Amino acid sequence: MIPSLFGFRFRQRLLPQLPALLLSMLLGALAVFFYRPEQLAGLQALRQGLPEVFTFLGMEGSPHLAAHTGGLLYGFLMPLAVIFRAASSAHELVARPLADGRAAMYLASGHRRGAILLTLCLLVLLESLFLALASLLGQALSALVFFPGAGLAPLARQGLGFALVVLPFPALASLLAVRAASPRSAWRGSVLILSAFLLFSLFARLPGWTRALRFLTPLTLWKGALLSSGAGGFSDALWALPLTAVFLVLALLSFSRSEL
Amino acid sequence: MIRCEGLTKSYEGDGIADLTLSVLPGEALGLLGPGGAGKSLTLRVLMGQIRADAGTAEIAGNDCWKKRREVQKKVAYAPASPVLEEEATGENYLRFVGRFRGGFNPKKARDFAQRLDVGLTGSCRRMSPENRKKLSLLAAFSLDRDVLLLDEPSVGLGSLARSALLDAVASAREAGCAVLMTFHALEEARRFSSHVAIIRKGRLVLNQPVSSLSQTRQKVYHVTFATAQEAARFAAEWEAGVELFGSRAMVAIPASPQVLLKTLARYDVSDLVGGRDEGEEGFLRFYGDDIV
Repeated sequence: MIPSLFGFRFRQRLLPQLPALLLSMLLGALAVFFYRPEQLAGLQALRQGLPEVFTFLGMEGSPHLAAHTGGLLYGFLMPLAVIFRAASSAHELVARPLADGRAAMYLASGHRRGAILLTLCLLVLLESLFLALASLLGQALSALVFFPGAGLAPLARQGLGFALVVLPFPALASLLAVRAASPRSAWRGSVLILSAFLLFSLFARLPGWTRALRFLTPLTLWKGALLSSGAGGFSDALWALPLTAVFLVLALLSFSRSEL
Repeated sequence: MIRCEGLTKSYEGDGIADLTLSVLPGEALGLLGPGGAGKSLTLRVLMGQIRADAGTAEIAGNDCWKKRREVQKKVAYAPASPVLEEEATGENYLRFVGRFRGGFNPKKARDFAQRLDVGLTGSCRRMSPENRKKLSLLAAFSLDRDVLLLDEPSVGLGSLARSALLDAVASAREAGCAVLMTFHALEEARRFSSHVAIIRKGRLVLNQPVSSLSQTRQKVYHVTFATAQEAARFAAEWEAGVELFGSRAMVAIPASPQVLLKTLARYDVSDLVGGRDEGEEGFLRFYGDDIV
């Protein structure tokens, strides 16, 4: 990693990220807010009206705060947010510098190719990680306000598990950005492929043959019930790390062979 | 300091072929040629951004591809189209370049910034094209390096900035820096350089000191061959400074016609007319199409 490049790009990206981070915090806060009895009753009525849709989106509902927020956030909304964050970050931090000549200028500085790409990929990964953690922060703050007695540990375990599970998304988006012909195609490719992972996880919740799709997406490595109860779940989530590493290594190999 | 020998590279339809040149410390070579002649490609090969197909490119004895990291640490490079960090202010961009590339000389930066009158406040995205160019040059000249590679450094600059650039190139030469620049216009190349090399369709057709450039007298010969194929065979052998018009070839040579006559002896020539003196501008027009 190159500290000067990391620090500069990190500072440059702070402000553009703020709206997404605030939105993620708001989502987290709202998920906890909907655990209040009156909101929960309304949600329950909705769920009874459209049970298949709620099951499809992973919003099963639960008498426990952590399982309730986990269902609302990590079944559909947060994965969708991470998909767009990862695609956007890889577009801005990898695909655009490759296309507009900045990557060539970085390479002309005497730093190793691998170090330059790893620095940029690390930033892409961090931005998705921050988005996941912002939601967790929103949940924690909301829980402190509305349910002062509630334990934060189950929320934290769930949120950290999710942050691990979605790490392959920004890594894959970085790989696609390195290989894409243009920033636009990088963005489109990332959104398409990552959305396919989300769709697989949604269809895997339905009864029937589509359950087999759970093996085709890293999102099913997230075991909310186990994580929130503290009975485990991290060992599954940790499988996302080697997958992330594989995507990063492929991105490095691809970058090392490209002429800029 | 900079040495290319038989350098050949095909790249995206353009290319350079058998390019041989050198720039010693304290020299400034202006590489002159029309668009697509291979000037920028030469700089990019020297920067180690692209691998040559054949021949050697070295800076300070280091192969520009195999030891590109060592090479890049010795070189400051300013591309023809400034590549800046759009979100950053000019000041932040310079600070970043200094930390990222290393060897930043704040005194040089301050002096050159004053002479260039470059605006460093406001984001790069909102800068005028001239200010962007100035900032890109400032970033290159602010580094303590042995070699400067400047791609079309004077394009887009006003007269005051050109004058400041001229001073900066002169200072770099005095400090023992080897400078390689590319130009479209002969007058610019002569103004900024100690030597001028003309490159056309990837081939070097002239390389000499600026002082002797004005003394060069050229002669143009019109040779008519028995067949167009014969003319083409001759053009392939002669390579530089020859234009074909069917079975007729127009050849420009800077000195005695002896080599031309010896070569023509091996061909079926039906007519030879020429020996007309061409002025320097005419010679360059002949060699470089749209250089002058």
